[in-house]
This record gives sequence, structure tokens and C-alpha cells, in this order.
Amino acid sequence: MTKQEYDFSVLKAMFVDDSPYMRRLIHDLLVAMGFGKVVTASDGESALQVYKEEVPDILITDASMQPMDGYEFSRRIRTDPSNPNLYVPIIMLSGHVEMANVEKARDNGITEYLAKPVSAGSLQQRVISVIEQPRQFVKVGNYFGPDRRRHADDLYKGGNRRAESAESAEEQWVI
Amino acid sequence: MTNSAKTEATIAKDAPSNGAPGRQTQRKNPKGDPCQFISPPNKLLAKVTHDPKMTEVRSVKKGTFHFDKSRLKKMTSIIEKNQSVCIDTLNRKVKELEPIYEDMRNGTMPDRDTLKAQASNLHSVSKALDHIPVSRITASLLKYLNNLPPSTDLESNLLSPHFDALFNRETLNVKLDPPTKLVLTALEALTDHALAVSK
Repeated sequence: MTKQEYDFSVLKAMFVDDSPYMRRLIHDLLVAMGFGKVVTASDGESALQVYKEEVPDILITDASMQPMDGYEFSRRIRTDPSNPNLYVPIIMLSGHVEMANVEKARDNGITEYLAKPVSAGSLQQRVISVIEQPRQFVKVGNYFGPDRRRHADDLYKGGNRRAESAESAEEQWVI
Repeated sequence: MTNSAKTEATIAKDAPSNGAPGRQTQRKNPKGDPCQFISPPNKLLAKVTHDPKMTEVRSVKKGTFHFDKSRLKKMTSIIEKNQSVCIDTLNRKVKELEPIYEDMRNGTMPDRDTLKAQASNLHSVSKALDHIPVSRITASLLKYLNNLPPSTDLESNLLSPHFDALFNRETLNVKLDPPTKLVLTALEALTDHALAVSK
């Protein structure tokens, strides 16, 4: 069976970073990857406006920006009901890979975390991942975003409560 | 209205919508808080495969689709080219600070806006290059320049260590070894202290 090739030309991506050098780099990489359109913004505040106008399929954002950083930008994308797509995959690109930063990103609705320096393979892998393995969304308390519990521990031998409770809740599926 | 119809109505009302709600379940999490799980339709997969049925697919088996390897090569060459351009730019921008530093040592303080523009530019290049030490030094410098009250004069005691660190960036480890971390933390503490004193 021949493998089918993805057609990225139908997708629109958006990249947010305050560094013009970084904006140009990621823009060029996404175009080389085959994206039909790539829009950029220099900070979270202006990105929110551009996002509503362009409605991209995939969002990539830097973490540290002024006046609005990537975490707040992501939180606003997920929680502002006026946004055209609250489920948009958000990939955070950051040089700060400390656990606290990754957890902060996760708690603000980030879908994937990509550590700098960016490589062609890692960027491509994250984009493919949001397409092939889309995250389930969860709404609990004040949080709305991708399900934060997805870590698979190979050494864990206990029961799979998530899968079990999902099975028992099958009758509640709503289409 | 049946109980299940009520549940559906509540979910439909509360759930954020992207035009097609997909599958939703409602249950309690282990802490007992009510939580709602939503699996939005996989519109991206449907788009890139030109197959509307793909909206139902939650997980693609490895090897079903492929990505053009020549695109990866092109992307890698873009990164390499960018790397060399950014290194040149970074070195040039740091060199442009030398006369400012010389003037400062002779008692002439730099113009705040000019210095801010230069620091901002350096910060941008260092981010693209992922040079974390230069990125943090310039971030600290920018924090000082952006938050210092306009009526307060620039302090050479604060600027000099930042300049020194930039000129000696080759000695700083991009992977942030303990001595590098110490230098960067000290600069950031110096900035915080100067700003606290200025207010």
C-alpha cells in the first residue's frame, strides 16, 4: 500500500515572537514545510487581534514576550468565547525548559512544548503530532484546554482509571 | 424531558464550540470535581488528507502517512543559514556597543533610547540564535531601561557589568553551567536592586 503524503498547503499557521529574526526563521521554516499561509505577530496582544482575523489552523508562540507573554496569550485563546476556534493546537517554543515553565505552559492550555534551539525534525514532529494525535480537551474548574494528564509511565502497573471511567461513561457520549 | 436529554442539553450549553462539538462526556475527576471531556473533530487531519471522514480519527497509526524528506533538508539548510547570519549580526551588534562603553568610562552616559534600541536588537538576535546568556543579559538591561523612572539618571555601576558580560560572552556557557548561572543571576539581582532603589 502506498503511503499518502500530507498536503500542508491547505493549512494556515501563525507564529508569535517579539524577535523579528525568530519570526523570519519560523516563517521560512513553515513555508519550506509546505504551509499555504504563515502569519506572524510580535506580541500576545497584537496576536489576539491577528488570530481573530486570520483564524489559523495551528498556532506557534514564544513564551517570553512583552507586554503579553505566550502563557497569557494561550490562556486568552482558550477562554475568550469570542475566539473563532478555542481548540486550536498551540505549540510553545521556548528556551526555558525547566519543569516549572513546562507546567505553567500546560496549565495555560498549551498543546505541545518545543524546546529551543529549534530543529527541522523537532518542528516537523510537533506539527505532525497535533495532526495525528489531537489532544482531548477538558473543562474542569477554571481550566479549559488540552487534557493535562497524558503521561504514559511504562513502569506503572496499576489500573487505568481514565480509560476505565471513559468506558463506563460511554452511554453519555454526545454527538 | 428524560435525564439523558437533560444531560445533553447542559453539555451543549456549557461546552465551548468550534462549530462542530465532536464527542463529549461528563464525569467527575478523582478529586470529585465535575469535569467535561471534549474530543473535537480532527479537522486538521481531514484538511491535510482531503478526506472529510478523517475528522473522526483520534490517532493515526505510525507509517500510514509520510512527510516529504526533501522538505526536511530544505528546512535544515534554512536553520544553518540563519545560524551563521545571526552569529555575524550578534558579533556586529556587540561591537557597536564598544564606543558607548568607552564614552561611559570617560564619564559620558549613553542616550537611553539609543541604548534601549541596541539592547532590544541584541535581545532579538540572541533569541533567534538561542544564546540564552546574551538573551538574559539583554533582557535584564532592557528591564532596567524600560522601568527606570525618566527623571532618574542611568547608573554606570549597573550598565558596566552588563557590558562586561556581553563583551566576555565567549566565557559564558550557553547550556548555563553554574558559573554562568551565577553571573546571570547576579546581573538580574543588580537590576532588581537598582530599580527598587530608584522608586
